[in-house]
This record gives sequence, C-alpha cells and structure tokens, in this order.
Amino acid sequence: MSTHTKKRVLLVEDDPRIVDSLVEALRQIDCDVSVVVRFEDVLESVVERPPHLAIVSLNLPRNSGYDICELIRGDDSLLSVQILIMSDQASPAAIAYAEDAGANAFLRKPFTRQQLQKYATALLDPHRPPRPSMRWLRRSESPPPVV
Amino acid sequence: MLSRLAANTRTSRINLGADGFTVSAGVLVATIGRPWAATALTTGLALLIWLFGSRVLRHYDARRAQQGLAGDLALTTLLVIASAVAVGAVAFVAPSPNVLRYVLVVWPATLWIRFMLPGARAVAEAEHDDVLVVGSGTLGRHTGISIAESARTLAGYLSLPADAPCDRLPASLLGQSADLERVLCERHVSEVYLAGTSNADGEAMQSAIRVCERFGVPFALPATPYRLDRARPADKSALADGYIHFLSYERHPMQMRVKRLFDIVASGFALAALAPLLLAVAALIKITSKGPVLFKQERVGQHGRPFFMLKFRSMVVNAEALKAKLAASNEQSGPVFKMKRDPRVTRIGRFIRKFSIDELPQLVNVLRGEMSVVGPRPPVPTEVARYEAWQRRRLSVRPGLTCVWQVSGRSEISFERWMYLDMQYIDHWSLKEDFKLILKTVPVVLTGRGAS
Repeated sequence: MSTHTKKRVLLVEDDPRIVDSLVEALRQIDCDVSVVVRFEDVLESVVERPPHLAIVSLNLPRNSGYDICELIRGDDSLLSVQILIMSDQASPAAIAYAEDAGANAFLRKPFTRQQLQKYATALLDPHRPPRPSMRWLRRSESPPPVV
Repeated sequence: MLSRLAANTRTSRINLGADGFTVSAGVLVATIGRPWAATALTTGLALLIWLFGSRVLRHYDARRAQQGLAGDLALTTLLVIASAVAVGAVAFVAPSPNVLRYVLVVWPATLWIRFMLPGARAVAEAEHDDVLVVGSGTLGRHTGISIAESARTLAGYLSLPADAPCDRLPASLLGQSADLERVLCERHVSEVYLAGTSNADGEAMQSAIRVCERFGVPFALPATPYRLDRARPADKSALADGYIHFLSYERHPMQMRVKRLFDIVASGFALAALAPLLLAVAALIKITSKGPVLFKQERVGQHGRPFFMLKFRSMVVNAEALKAKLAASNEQSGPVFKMKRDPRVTRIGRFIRKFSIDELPQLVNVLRGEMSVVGPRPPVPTEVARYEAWQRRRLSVRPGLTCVWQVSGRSEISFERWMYLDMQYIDHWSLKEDFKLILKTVPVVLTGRGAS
C-alpha cells in the first residue's frame, strides 16, 4: 500500500457550515485531508492521488454523490477506494441506492464528530476487503463491521 | 422481543405497586377522622376490588391487546369508579368514608402514573406489531434494518424472483414472494412492506399486492422507483420511511376512537347494570351442573391473534369431545358447527342461549380490547384454517358481539352468505352503521329469534 504513514482522505462537501469541522475531525485521527467541491475536479484528484477513503455528500451543487460513486467505481484501478456517503435523506431507498452505486457506508446527517471518526477509522482499516460490503450503513452505535 | 417483554413486565409491576399505594393513600384521605378499623376495612376492600378488576381487564398484562390513549384513559377510570363504589359500600357497616375525596386523590394520580410511566404504553402497543418484508435485495435489506431499529418487530423476509441470494438479512428468509399467502396464514402480520420495483418484479409485486388486499393486511409500497438526488417529499409526514402505506378499508380515525370509547363505556355500564342477572345465572349454572361457570374458548381475533372468548357454560363439560361424534348432524354449511337440538346443551344452557345471556361475559373481552361491541363474530382456529383466502379479510378488524349476520336470521343463513355480509360490513363501516346494528340486535335478542 502507501508508503505514507498518513491515510489520504478525499472530502467532497460544499456545505460551508460543516466543511471546516469535518476536516478538523479527520485530521484528529491523523488523516491527510483534501477537499474538493467541483464534480469535474473529483476524477482528476482521485486519479492523480488515489485516496484511501472518499467521504462524499449526496447533495452537491451540480451532480450528486451517487454520480461520484459511479464515477469512482467505473474505474477498475480505484477498486480499493472506500466510499462513505453522507446525507440527511436516509430512507431505506436512499441507502439502497448508495449501496447499489458502490458506496461502502452511509452516514445520516447530522452526525457527531465521534461518529464520523468511528466510521472513518473502520473504513480505513487495512484489513477491510477492497470492494464494498456495507452491512450497517445507518447511523448506529457500532462502526460498520468488517465482513 | 423477549427482553422487551421482560422490561414491560417490570414496568407493569411498578405500575401495579404505584397504583396500590395510591389507592391506600386515597382511602387514608377519605377516612380521616374515622376509626382505624374502618380505615383498614376500606383499604382492604378497595385494594381487593382494584386487584380483581385489573386482573379481569388485564390492566397490567404485558401481552394485553392494544388499547390506545382513549382505552387506557377509560379503563383506568373504570377501575377508579369500581373501587370508589367499594369504598362507598363500607357505609353499610362502618362510618361512611368520603368517596369524593377518594376519587379526587386516586383518579388523577393513577392516570398520571399510567401515562407518565416511561415505556409502559409504548411497549404494550408495539408488542404485536410484526412486519413482513417482501424483497430481499438491497432495498429490502435496508428496509428491514430500519424497521428493526424502530419499535416494530421484523417477522421475516420473502424473496422476489429478481433478488440475488442474500445472506446478510437482519431477519430470516421465510420463502419466496409466491409463499406470501401461506406465511400470512401461519403468522400474525400487521403490515407487509413490498420492497421491489415494477421493472424487475412487476408481476410478483402485483400478485403480492393482490394477496394483501384479499387478506385485508395493510401493506406499503416504495414511494418512488426512481433515484432521487436531492428531491424530497413536500409533505414529509406522509412518507416518513420512503414508503406509501395502504389499507384495505376506509380509515376513520376519529370514528374509530369514538367506537373504542363507546365500547368501554357501554360494556362497563352493561356489566354494572346486569350484575344481578349475571350473578344469578352464574349461581344457577354452578348449582344445576358439574363444572366451571365460565367457558373459555380460543377464538381468533384481529390480525389472526388468538384470545380466549368468555361465555357462560351452556353445555356439559366434555362437549368439545362429543362434537366429533355429532359432526354428521351438522346443519350449517361450511366449516362452522351448528345444530338446532344439540344434545350437549344443559337445561339452563338452553334458556341462556335462547336469550343470548351466555354471550354476556364477552363484555369483559370488550373491556380487555380483544373484542368490540359490533364486529364480525370471532371464529375458532379450526374454522380459520379452512377459510378461503378472501374470507380471512374478516380478521382485519376487531371482532364483535354482534354483527350483520346476527340481526338477519343467524343460523338460517348459509356460511357463504354470512361471509359476504361480514365483508360488506367491513368495507362500508361507519359509526352510524354500528349504532343501527346495536338497535337491531336488541329485538333479536329479546325475542330469541334465530338463536340455536
């Protein structure tokens, strides 16, 4: 894997009210965070420096988080990228679409700093298998288990 | 499920203890200035009535039927009235306690305890709320997870033809969507979630919907088959879980509440007014034949949930065993057993059956919330086992003491016609219809017309 000790995290979020605190929370668990807002920049950034984890908001100005999932999953060389979707729309249908689009986990907004850190840590675990298997995507006490 | 039941049992005990304490305190306040012996006697009597009454009404039973807000309010009030009558009755033998003071203490306090006790009502109401999910794909799995996280219980899954096999479901797979009919017969399901799309499973979804409609089981369909990136329902409360919910009958929530309230008030009054008759009949039954006064028979209630229906015993003790021998002389078509000159009926039994007095103990079933005054008669389990699918829709409502069949000639009507009448009642239910049926029942009972 990477020679860096720090895990790379790509954050795709345009909500100015929460971006800073998300970055702060991820830095606390020793992540190298880069923030991208524009859909067009995502692929470029992902291909250039593949992240270990992409944290994607569902509601983006131009496209949706589902599109970003499909974009990443459409490239076989990016299979090991873990994807976490965040949204305030957490109906079973929305979560099912996220899974079908290739997301590994789903976090309902609003969430606490601890929840985000717990999810990120679990998804960044190097022993996780490369392709999705999201079992407990919903906002729950336990982090997503490794299958 | 089990842990919830255990927690509920503990809450019930706390509830009972608190109520007992309140009743004692109420008596103490009501007997200020009276001799201590009178206080002790009154306390004992009030507690006795309270305990007996709450036992009969299943007031603290963890597995009691759903009562709702109005039901809980009315039943607690009923217990207060019953115990207040007992407190007042002490006046016959001792200096009379102040009943008004007793009611003023006990009534608000017991109601407060009932409604403020955390979880007591919520758990009791969610107890039998079993949900079945049809569709074991991604949507089905997440639907199940979200149900399991709510207060409802996940009964299991049925897979749709297009579903890939899945081993990560939060509940067991009970079969395929084609088995829906069998599963609904075997289990008490209060709602079916159809987690599929018309593209992939159109035909299977349509036939599952048809089964739900025939059974009268509420079901839910995904609000939209499309992917929504940011659109959200304008009216959030209508589809909180992303599903649209359907019922097979017209829902009148206000009228339903009035109906339940009427049930409790009417049967409470009727029990009090008929108490002398009931006691006399009970005594006669006990004297004239061997065996218990009441006959408890297992019947099938709303959503197929079994309960014990109470009757005055009108037959000899081993009647059920004799029934098999008499099967050849059955005079009623279909799976019901009826016979005009049934040799198993006792002498007093024939009289109380003629005037439907044997059915009066069911007023207690009404108070317990297992039955209503008006509704389709609750069938016995063997009858239900032989029902055709469409006839099971009878079980979608609370069963009752009287219904259309009872006022239109009873045993002279064929089974098929009876089922049609019941279905007609369910489909066109209104509070007005109920009151009409009650009024029509009175002359039928008084003249003993059509009774077997």
